[in-house]
Amino acid sequence: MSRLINYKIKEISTKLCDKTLCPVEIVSDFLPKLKSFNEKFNTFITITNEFALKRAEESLHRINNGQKLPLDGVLIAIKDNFCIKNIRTTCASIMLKDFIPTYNATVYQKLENAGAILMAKTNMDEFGMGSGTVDSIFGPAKNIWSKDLNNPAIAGGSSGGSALAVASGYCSAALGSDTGGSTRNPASYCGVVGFKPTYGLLSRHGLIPLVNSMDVPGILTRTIDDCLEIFNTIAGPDDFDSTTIKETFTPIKLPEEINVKKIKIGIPKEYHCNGLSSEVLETWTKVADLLEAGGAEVKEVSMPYTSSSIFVYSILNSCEVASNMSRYDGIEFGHRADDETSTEHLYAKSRAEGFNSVVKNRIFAGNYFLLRKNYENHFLKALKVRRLINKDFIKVFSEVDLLLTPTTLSDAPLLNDFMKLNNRDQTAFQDYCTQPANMAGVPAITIPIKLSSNDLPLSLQLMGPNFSEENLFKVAKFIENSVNFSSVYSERNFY
Amino acid sequence: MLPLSTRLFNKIIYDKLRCYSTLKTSKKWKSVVGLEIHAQIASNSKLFSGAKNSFIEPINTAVALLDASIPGTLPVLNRGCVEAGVKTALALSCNVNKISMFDRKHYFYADLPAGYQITQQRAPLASNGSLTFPVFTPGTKPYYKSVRLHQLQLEQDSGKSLHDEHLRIIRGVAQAVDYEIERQISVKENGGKIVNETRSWDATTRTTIVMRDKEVVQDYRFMPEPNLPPLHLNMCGDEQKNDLVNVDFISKSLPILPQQMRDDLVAKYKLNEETSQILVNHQILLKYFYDIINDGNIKTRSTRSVAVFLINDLLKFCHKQDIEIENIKMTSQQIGELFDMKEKSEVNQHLVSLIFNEMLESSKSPSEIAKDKNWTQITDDAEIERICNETLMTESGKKITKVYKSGKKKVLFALIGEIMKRYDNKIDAAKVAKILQNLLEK
Repeated sequence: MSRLINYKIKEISTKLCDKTLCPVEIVSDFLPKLKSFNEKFNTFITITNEFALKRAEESLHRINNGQKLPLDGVLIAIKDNFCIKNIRTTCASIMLKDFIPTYNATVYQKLENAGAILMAKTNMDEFGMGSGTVDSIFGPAKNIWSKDLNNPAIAGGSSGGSALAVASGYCSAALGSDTGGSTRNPASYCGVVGFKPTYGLLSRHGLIPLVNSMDVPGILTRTIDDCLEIFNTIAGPDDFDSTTIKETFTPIKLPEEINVKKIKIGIPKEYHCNGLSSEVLETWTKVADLLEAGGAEVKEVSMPYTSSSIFVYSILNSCEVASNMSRYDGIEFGHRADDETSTEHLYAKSRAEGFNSVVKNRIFAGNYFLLRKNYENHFLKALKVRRLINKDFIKVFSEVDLLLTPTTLSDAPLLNDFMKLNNRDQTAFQDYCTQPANMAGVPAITIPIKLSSNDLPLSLQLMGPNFSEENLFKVAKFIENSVNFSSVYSERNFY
Repeated sequence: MLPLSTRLFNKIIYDKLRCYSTLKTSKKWKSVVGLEIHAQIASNSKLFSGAKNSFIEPINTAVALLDASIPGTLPVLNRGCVEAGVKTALALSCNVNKISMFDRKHYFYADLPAGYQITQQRAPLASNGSLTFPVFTPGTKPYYKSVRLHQLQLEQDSGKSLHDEHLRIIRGVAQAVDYEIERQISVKENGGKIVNETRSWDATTRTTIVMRDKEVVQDYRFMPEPNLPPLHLNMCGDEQKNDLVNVDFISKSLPILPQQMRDDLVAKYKLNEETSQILVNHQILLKYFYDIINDGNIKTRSTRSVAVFLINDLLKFCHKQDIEIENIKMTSQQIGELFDMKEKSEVNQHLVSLIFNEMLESSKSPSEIAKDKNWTQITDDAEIERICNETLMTESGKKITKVYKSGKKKVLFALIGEIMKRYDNKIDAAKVAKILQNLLEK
């Protein structure tokens, strides 16, 4: 077998039980393939090699003893901003290039407890600041759907490596993080499912923060079923994260027969914005029609504060970044510059060398907004507008059950075109449709629909009110069944 | 140099709390003094991490990942600390806030790994309290004062472990405040402007000086702590609601507060203000007092004499020996018995102190100790009269008699001193004085 592209997690499970698949064989077969795949697409920062083999052997041992765990033999990749014990966790930054955590992020721990095998830590924008997986000290990731690898399309970001790990077919699932769309954006560009759950359902313990009040671990898979499988495994309260919802999480089970009858779907007109490509618009209309044909009530709604989200985001993001980054001083961990003339000099030089210019810009901006004289006019105002954006969602969800929107405004841009705009402007453009869900904390999922005229994936996004995951997965699966994007995968021969 | 930023007193803020200095200054100016007091909660673990809250551990052994600001770690609020905070707030008559919030205060400093401190700036745990307390300067009548409390907040202390000599520091703070009042008045009277700055007290030159590393006015860039949801308290007294800290329950379980203790000692035990204050300030002394007074076997002990014995004999002994009274292991039975022995003049103050010293190590009863060491004093009237006569017959005795009879009656003390010395202080000094006087007046 060359890849697992046609297998769902449940099917892998069955094949492991009837011994037609062996975890040790898969891992030993895939490790060199992952390496050569990485040479082409720059997907991984660290391939776990011995660790993955050891985990596979443990998996095999359990299977042979009739003690198979739910995710035994399931290969996963994790974005390089989740701490994993004894495995380098870099955030794609010089600052943490040699950082080896001594603890596991809760979401990873739960996957490990369920038997999953970590194959790699994935490439990303430095500290998650970007939407291309371009601003990484390990270089840009390349989209697997690129026509010409010498003029590649971007993978999207900041969790581009995780999207590629899944699109490659080598991993069944990957974790990304989603602060303004960082899971959904690359999922959209790479043609995989990308899910951002309700804030507070997944623990952030061990996720190196970008914006604490918006960050959520994101899940990337090829199918809705797999996404749900992973979500059910990792959701729930965590004593190490005070912002997790205290109530016990009840796993979601979808009915065998999916239908969308009577479900009210809103089409927010503000998402029909400047820069939306005609192909995305066409896809959007097509899927809305599919839902309507399936019995859903589709109607236009309005969310007037949508366009302010990006501005609010740029302020709140900078402020939390400035604060979160202040721990990187070269003393306790991380990059330490060679300057010991004074503590202050050591701090300054370590930070100057350790961060890229995107990070530095945000630190400067954030500290400016937080100054006593600016706090009220910038930070507090941004918080107030954030509340208005949230009210948009509350109001619209009193009218409809879910929203259907584009995920990205176009298919994946070419790396060369993408580099023409600076990071800040790219973020403003790229995150337009994904960002508001983070402001409000609501769940959102992106589903690949079809290929564009450039043979690049086009995807759409569903958003729902807090804790509406069941509904969200149900409608997502209905769309998945209707568009049958997986057939595109099977036909395609990737490099 | 003694920096004012110690565990106990961080800095002096003018403008927050009003109290009056003992200093007599020009009537034109009225000083307003505020104190920021850092009290350490005696919790098992730290405010936001599971690491031990202990100050005698080897370096870096009580550090959780969060304390070292390891990326990805999140603060988790310690429930015990919230309860202690609420308890303190109630004892200080504060308004306990139903919802309080945490903030990040940013600055770079070597003992602040995260680059920010988690504190409660905008919405503290409690606010608007007051504390009424007695002021006692030896030689004057105690009087009462009240201070208002601006706010009570929970915050992490990046802190170092220093065993400060608290008394010296409190005295230092008082001196620094007095100095600052004078200095600021003189700046004002010379047309100057008072700037907001951190100064430290130099005990040697008895002046305050600007602390150099904080010369620049800090902008702490406060920001809400996004990883800690607002802290909700259960105010209404329901049994348990969503696991919230129950303010009503804590309020009902408050111990007797110092003022009530003092009032009790005055009303019920007929002690004076000053004595009751000292007992209340030393809880261990107060416990001895109650135990000795309420000893079921002996009901005739005078409350005042017991209190005086505890203060003048026991507390003084500890001060002299430089021992923390909290650390002595004497039982109230031992102390009570020694008190009785002194009341019966079997021992004097000198012997009491020798026996205390033995009791530091020994669980023997004081009478046993006295017997073993031959530390009882001569109290027999006939024996003392014999000793006095003998002394008066000596050369110096005769000389002193002559002087005494010429009217200089003070020489009597010299004679007493001589006898005390000769008998190694083991003789009832009061009786010696009385008998000597009788003999000389004959």
